[in-house]
Amino acid sequence: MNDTHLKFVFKITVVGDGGVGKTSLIKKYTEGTFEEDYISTVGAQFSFYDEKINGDECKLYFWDIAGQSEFEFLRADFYEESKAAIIVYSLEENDHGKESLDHLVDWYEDLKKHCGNIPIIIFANKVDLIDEDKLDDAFVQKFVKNKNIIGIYHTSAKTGKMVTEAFLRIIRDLYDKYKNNI
Amino acid sequence: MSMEESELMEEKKTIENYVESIYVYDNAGICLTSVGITSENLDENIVSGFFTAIKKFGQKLIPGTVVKSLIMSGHKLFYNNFENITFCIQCYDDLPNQVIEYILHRVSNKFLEVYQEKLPIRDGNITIFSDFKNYLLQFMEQPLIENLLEDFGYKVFSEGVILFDEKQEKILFAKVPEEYSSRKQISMSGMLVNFAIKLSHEYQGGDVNSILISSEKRWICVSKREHIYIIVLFSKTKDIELNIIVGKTEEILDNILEMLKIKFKK
Repeated sequence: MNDTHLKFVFKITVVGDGGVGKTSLIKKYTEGTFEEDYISTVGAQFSFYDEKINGDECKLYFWDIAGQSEFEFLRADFYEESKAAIIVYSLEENDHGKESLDHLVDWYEDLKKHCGNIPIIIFANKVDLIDEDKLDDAFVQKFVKNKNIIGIYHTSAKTGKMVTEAFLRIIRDLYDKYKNNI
Repeated sequence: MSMEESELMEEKKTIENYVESIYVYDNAGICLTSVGITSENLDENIVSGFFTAIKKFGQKLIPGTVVKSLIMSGHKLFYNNFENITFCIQCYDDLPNQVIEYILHRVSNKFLEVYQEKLPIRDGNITIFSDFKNYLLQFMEQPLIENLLEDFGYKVFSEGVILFDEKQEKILFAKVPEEYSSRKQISMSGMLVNFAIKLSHEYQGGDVNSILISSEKRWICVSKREHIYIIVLFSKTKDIELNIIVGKTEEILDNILEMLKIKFKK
């Protein structure tokens, strides 16, 4: 490797209600696997993904933070020094899906309060469970536009739909931002 | 002494014989640099992430506190925090805590000396710390007991330090002018301690830990534990707290004795 190439490590906080698929999305992206059985995250899980851009090494370092209210007391501390955040909600057409959408604003406010003006991206997960043509997400699209969120991706941790594209978007954004700072 | 034990003392033990890993990481859990990780598929950031989460959990559990160490069966982890940077040493559990603290301070002082100004502007770029890995690799190859004694001698303003093994009749360490480390001088120290023990027993004082000689030009402190002696010379011109000097001398001798008894796993 050329000596002038750089090595970046970016901490990415992943939040959203419990059971929306945060851990599964990260697992799909970093390991290419999906597990049908749901295992609740205890506190936080850590994983990473390496990507080379222009010869520079970029490591995305995911802090997958438990969405359950029992872990709320730790959450703000776990956000510390995050360079970007992902909010995940579920597109499921049931109470769980609707609640996770309702909480989207709360997660956003929480991140803003503790992390300031970091890039935020939204993953609307479990798109494999709905008919995407009939999806009405005008509220979320408006929210994304008003809050200057860098994007929303309809993802499926099960099929892998848009998962890579969504994560690559974050890597690119962070790389461009921090490379230009040097 | 068994053959195995004598062989262990023949060879100078380096820091890597005692220390398994060193990690330097920030409050995001990002590992800035590390050495000594051996497990396959174990990324240094996974380790530093868990340590960071434990630290944050500890601070929530008992506000105003910080996790200083973790004791595991056969191993222990010691932490030194400086602002948003944590230095961590993973080692075998028989290494004395004071020796671990010494290693931690050596590492953190060197790191901060080089990088303190760059820490606020790193912005995810850990390339700036890459040189420190080389420093850590070289640091791990340094002889630990010798470094400890040299540091001790410097801190207590001594003119010289000699570590002697009575059983082997061998000088393990000497940082003194050559004329002060002859076999005759060492033997006299041994005889003096043995005489002092007899004298102490006469007065029902029990075993002798140290002898402090106040001479015209020097303080001479001789301490003995089992078969190991340490002799420390101080100039009379230095204004020193004698009880502190004796205490520190005994403390380092205790630590060294513990280290000499460690059965190496590496």
